[in-house]
Amino acid sequence: MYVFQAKEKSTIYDGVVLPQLVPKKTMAIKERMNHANSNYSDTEPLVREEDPEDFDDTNSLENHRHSVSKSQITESIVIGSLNIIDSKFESLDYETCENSLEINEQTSKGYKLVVKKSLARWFIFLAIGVLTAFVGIFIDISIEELSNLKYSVIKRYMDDCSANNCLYIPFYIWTGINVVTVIIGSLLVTYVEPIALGSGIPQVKCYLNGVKMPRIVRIKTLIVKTIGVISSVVGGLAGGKEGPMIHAGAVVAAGISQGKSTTLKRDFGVFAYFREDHEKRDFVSGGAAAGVAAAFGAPVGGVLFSLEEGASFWNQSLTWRIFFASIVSTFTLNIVLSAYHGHPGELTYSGLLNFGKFESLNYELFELVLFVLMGAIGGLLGSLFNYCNYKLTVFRMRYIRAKWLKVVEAVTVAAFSASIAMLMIYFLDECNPLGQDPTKYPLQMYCGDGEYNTIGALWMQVPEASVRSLFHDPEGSQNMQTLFLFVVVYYLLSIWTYGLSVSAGLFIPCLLTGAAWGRLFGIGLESLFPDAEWVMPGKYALVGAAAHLGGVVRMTISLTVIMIEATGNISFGLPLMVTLITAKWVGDFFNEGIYDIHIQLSGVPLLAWEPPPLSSNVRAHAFMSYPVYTLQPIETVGHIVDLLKNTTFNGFPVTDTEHKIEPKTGGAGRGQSFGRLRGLILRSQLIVLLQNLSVFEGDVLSCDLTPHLFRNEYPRYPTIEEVHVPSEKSGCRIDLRPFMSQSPYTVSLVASLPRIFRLFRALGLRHLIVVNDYNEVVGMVTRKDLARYRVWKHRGHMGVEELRVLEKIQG
Amino acid sequence: MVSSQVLISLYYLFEVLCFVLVNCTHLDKKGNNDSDFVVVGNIDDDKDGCQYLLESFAHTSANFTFCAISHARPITLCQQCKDPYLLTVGVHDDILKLEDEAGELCKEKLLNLDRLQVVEGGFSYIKNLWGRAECDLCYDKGTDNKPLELNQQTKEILHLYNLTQECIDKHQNETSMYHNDPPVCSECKQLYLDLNSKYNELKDNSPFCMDITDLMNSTRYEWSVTIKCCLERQKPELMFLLATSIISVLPVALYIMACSFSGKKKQNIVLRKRVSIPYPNEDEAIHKIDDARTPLVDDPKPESSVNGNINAGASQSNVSRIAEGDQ
Repeated sequence: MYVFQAKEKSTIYDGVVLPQLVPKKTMAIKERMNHANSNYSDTEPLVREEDPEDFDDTNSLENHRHSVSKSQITESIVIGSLNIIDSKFESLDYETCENSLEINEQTSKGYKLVVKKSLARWFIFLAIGVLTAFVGIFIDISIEELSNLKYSVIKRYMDDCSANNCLYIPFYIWTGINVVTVIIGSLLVTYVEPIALGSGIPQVKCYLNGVKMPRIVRIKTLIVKTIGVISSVVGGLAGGKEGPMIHAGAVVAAGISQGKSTTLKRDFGVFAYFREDHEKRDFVSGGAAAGVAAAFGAPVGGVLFSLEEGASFWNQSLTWRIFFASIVSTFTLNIVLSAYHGHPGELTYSGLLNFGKFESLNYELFELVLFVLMGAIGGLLGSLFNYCNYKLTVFRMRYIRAKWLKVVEAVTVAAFSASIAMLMIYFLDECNPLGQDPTKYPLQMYCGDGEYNTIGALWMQVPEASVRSLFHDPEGSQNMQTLFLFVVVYYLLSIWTYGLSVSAGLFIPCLLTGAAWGRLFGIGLESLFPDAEWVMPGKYALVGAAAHLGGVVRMTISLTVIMIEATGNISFGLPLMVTLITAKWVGDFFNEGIYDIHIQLSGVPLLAWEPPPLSSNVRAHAFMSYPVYTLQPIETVGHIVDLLKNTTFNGFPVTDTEHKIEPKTGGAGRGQSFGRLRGLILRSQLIVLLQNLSVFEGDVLSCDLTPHLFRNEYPRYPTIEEVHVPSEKSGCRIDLRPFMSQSPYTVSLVASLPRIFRLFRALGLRHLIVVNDYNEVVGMVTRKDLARYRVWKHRGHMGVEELRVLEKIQG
Repeated sequence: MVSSQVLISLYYLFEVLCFVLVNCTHLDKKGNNDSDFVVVGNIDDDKDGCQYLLESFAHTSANFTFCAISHARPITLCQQCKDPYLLTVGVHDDILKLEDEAGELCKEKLLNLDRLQVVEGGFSYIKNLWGRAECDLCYDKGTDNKPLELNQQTKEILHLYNLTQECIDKHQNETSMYHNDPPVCSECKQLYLDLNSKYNELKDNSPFCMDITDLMNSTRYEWSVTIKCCLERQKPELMFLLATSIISVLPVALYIMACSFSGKKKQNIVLRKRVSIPYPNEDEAIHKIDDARTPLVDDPKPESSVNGNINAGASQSNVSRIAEGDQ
């Protein structure tokens, strides 16, 4: 026992990454010592306990409880570490349960149900497209109207006051509007629905990966998200509405497909056959795609986004339906917005984010070199962004924990955004002649009559409109110093804003910063080559925007296609692709993408695309969970209740312990058997059984329950504490065999890590039972066991690190 | 047939007469500016109807172009070139509608015959220029949706502008000795402000054509840059600077406060149980795992699986191997 402890200690503190069975010689990639040590610098070993558990007496539940609650915790760390997995995250049950109830139902309903289901699917995808578009329209129009109101008021006071020495009045007004609107959004996000925080892309990504993100697809979340994003954009924060649109699409999809809502406490009684994680995931990926399609006017980009984030569960017919939803969403948005802007019947307004129409985007071949250079700059700036935001997020996790403090922080940033804008307008006296009114709200400030303040023009509009002006403003609209200062300020502001307790996306601030330095780059080239025809600041602004965004989020194919579609120019696809690839490679040299950093910080057990390299020699027994808590085919109610109360596990193998082959030699730890495998039963099924104890009869309880009973509770089953089990029933026994999944997926004790990983990833498993040669359960592989091994590759090295599992915090 | 030909010729005669008449009156009005319109070539009366139309289109469009360019700076295109514009549009309409002696549509004889498309190219240039200047915004529309005369708000602005300009011209001479804020500023300030506020007020409801926009821009520019009337606008806004600096310090204060008042929160690590068999190297480990399973079975019960029985026989040697390995 003691040896075991010592070994475990060395495993963690050397930063040795694979379990002990890996011989030292295969660790050719171990030059990561420094890296690992720096990662662990935050850890403070506090308590070290001897592990009192003797593996042999697993039958005593008292002992189980002891081991679960106490003995496994040996140390604690300060929050805000990247190499952790939080126990509170659970997997989704993508694998459909195959018990005799379901099989009976399937055969009795026949082909009629199959046809009905596939028709219903098409209908739901149509509804997803339309409704997502309408959410987008609502957000867009609200933001437009409210910010028009805001800026026209500010402009009026600015114009009056710049002549009358009362600039503090518009300042108070501007700050006041920002603070009040942001406070609404921040209060909602902080107190009502914290999962609506940020852009929503990381959360949707985790969901599609197969992690159950609590409350992510509820209607309440959608409402908070919608109001939150309107408030943060109108409140002048450096945020956009594109990321939230993706989340909104996902919620819409989940909501429609289930035909019921917990928030509204209504069950519409339709689409009950879609109430399972597997079907819901398909709809959610369609909704996310429709969200992207509406946000960027990029239907193909939307499909590819879903492909990129949820690709392991993909098939041709689903792709086709998702594309249908994306197209419907794009064109619904287009038709309605065109009508709203006074061109009914025209399809002019595709997407919320509109890059506008480029007059010409011609490029010479040699410019590709410049684009590569800009991609590299984008990668550098992006990784710096991620690093700073990572540090800031850790700070926030550690010190800004009180809810009111989060609101105060968001409000402070909103007030600061207003004051920095005002200060820049006040101090930078850059004037341009008004001409034919290039901006909607030109500020005169200290310019002569007939001129406007150039920096005021950038601040006095929603960031999205600023992106457009950087793309399309005629040459000479901004001069270099102004633009440079704007880049610096907005870059820092966007780092600061992302992760605040508001819901706002990252795309627009990144595009704006990138467009600004891209334009700066273009203006610089223009002064170097005054006669060159190929220098167009707008073109370089576009490339800069792509480079910066690519450097921050590190998305690949979907981002490229989204940019191409938003630009509306196929021949400019090559420069965009070249830029984005360079930005990603340069950025990946230093750190991960911003979404991945945030996912890692929150400890989500995300499964990568590929198993860790060089891990074929790691066998199942080295990383499986152990010991396993099992049930007998005919089990007493009391035991089930005890088991559910004392463990947090979600799947329990059903085994025949009477056929168990008792270990006579070897002692603790040698593939100890928990009985011959008969099936797998889920916690949710047990809960439903316990709820319906009254319908059972006799001594050995067995009864026909309909599968409906199991679906009605989905997706939120009551906890075991909420289920009342009458004490006189606790001695009764239930026959679990009709309810359990009779043929769960199993692997052999010697199966390798990559093999198990692929099986897990491809099938979307939640539990994988490890058996020995006699089909006896010896262990269990779950998502957390696999997600523990994370590959990293930075600065020319790569390796695998082992993450640590955090205790679930109750309450 | 003959009558229609005569009709067309008469019509054109009338049109050209009108055209000349308009130009002449225009010339008379302008008086000092006799190069406003030049007649490019002569219209050949011998040509048939359509050819005749073509030439008159050439003339009218040439006149419009001449007018537009000569009124490019300062832009007075909308006010000055309305008539040539209307004429050009009229002739173009005729080309589309009328037929020649042979009953053939002029459209078919003149347009869409080659890929150069001279007539349509020229016409779209004129249409486009007029449209981009948004000239229609300054005119009241007639019954046929054609600009008739300057609308009320344009007239108002022009009136105010004339007053301002007169005032500036009157006092302009006195300015030379001042660098900033010459007397002209105080004299004409009220007029200038009236003009400005009127423009701002009207602009929001209905936008102006390019003429007026440009007029305002150049007047403002003249006022503030050429005459230097409203310089020294920047003032030390003490209240404002104070407020912004407080706001700017706020986040720093917030973070320091948060940092000092909230303690670090710790989270516990759960060590997952592993089957950990400390083998010295991998190959051996695998063998041992392979072997280790069978020796567990000392005396397999008869009802345990067939598999167990098969392996049971072979397990004897494994037991010895594992014993060796352990030592």
